[in-house]
Amino acid sequence: MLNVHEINVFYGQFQALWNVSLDVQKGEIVALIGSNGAGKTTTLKTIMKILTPRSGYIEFEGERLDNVPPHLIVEKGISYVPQGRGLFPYMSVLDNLKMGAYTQHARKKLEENLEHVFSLFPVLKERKKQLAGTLSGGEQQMLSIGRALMSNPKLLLLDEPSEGLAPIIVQKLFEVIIRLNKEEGVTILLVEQNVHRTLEIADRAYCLEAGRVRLSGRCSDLIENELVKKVYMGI
Amino acid sequence: MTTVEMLIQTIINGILLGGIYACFGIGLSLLWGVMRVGNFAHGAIAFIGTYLFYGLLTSFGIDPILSMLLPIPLFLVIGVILYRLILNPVYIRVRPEDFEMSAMLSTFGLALAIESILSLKWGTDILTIPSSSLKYLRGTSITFGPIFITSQGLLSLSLAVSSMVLLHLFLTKTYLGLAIRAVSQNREMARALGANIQNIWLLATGIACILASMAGIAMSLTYAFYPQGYIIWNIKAFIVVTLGGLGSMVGMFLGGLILGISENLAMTLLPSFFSSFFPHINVLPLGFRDVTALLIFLIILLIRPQGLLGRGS
Repeated sequence: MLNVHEINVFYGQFQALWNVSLDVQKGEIVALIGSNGAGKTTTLKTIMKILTPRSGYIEFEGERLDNVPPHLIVEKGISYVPQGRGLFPYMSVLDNLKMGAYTQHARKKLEENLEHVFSLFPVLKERKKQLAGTLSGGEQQMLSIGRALMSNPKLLLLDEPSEGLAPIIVQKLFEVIIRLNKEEGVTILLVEQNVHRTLEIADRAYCLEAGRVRLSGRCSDLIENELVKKVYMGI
Repeated sequence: MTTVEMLIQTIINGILLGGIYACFGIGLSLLWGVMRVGNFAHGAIAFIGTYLFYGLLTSFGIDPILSMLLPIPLFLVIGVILYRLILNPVYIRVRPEDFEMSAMLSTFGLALAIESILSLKWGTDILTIPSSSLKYLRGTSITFGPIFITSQGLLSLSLAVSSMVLLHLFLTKTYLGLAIRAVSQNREMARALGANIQNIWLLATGIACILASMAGIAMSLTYAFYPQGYIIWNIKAFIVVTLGGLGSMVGMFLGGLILGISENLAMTLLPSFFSSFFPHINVLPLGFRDVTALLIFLIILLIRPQGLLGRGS
């Protein structure tokens, strides 16, 4: 479904990604793990065309995204939940969700998708008139995910959704991610610091280190891998 | 006229003036919010509105309401020119961290060009809208005993208020308005959700120019104007936007009222205050109006740097 092919990405002189390749198959949960500064967020931003690779390319459903302008990526069926949630803090919960359905075809299904998001996250319905910036951390994360679902994505990019949340909320969040994947058939590319939990729910994972893919494989194998245990799980 | 009546009259005049200030402020605050452009040409563009209104009324004798509305498409075009010829090229060519300053200086250049063009056509004399050309809008003043409100003052206030209400409705009730707000709060994310930033900026520039023309017309209904006169209105607009707090329409209207009322109060009260110390001074120079405005601005900034109803940084 998604194929990232040998991308090299720079911030000015600094090379953040070195020949990073990865692929995501339809229906999978694929995890991207690694320490701070390993290039996980950079990879997602490059897929969203917020950053432009100096070489390499990205393919989605067999189509190269090179010439697709950044604001049309969402039309292709990719939704983005950025690190730090990326909400519009002075807009109401409802307006944030409506902004998630900005594309023409999503706007036609606005009511239907709103009901769907409200059924997934009932708390958003209760708070729909409230400003997004006044929600709690967990509610903000639900809003960010809910907003991403408003465009009926085929692929969901999640950047550290559990960051800064209480363990009990993280537990609920992972349940939602599994539910989206298993029941709704949304393919997920997940960036996480919470490595142990992530390897349990994902199908496959890529380990990034200093901008390079160090290891990749099925999570059931990686979880037994000595290097992964030592470096990422501190066991 | 008793002192109390004089105070009430002063405050009423202040409210009318404040409405005009707020009207200048909304377009400015829109463009700053969405694109981070401190538009120094805002006042000059407003003055294009003023002079076109004047020209349509006096040279062609066109109906006053039509004279207000006819130029609106032209201001959309001026917005497109401002965006395509100045803002967008600057945005593409300079480093992101230099954009605010470069854009501001470019609009300053545009203001000077507009000022010169206006002088070429209409000369540098001080003009007023002849009240006879306002026809049915002229009306009589509303009086309560010795206190009066001119119908032109009311007209300019209602023009200011209706511009604000219409903009508010556009921003909250339409999808494009939603996108404008989204872009001003998180540009990158708005784009990831499907908003074409360039188009949103173009639209916002066009709307800001229409709002400018409305402000120019509201101003001309009660005040005299000349081509260089836009500068002080532009500065007052900046003050009002900063006073109210960026992004808060109510705050900005409040800022306009505070500025208008306190300027007028100062002009009424200060002469007697000064003359008790310096008996030979009995008239204040008109420039004191602006001195008062800037002093109030300075004081409020010292106390609340984020503005009266601002959202912090």
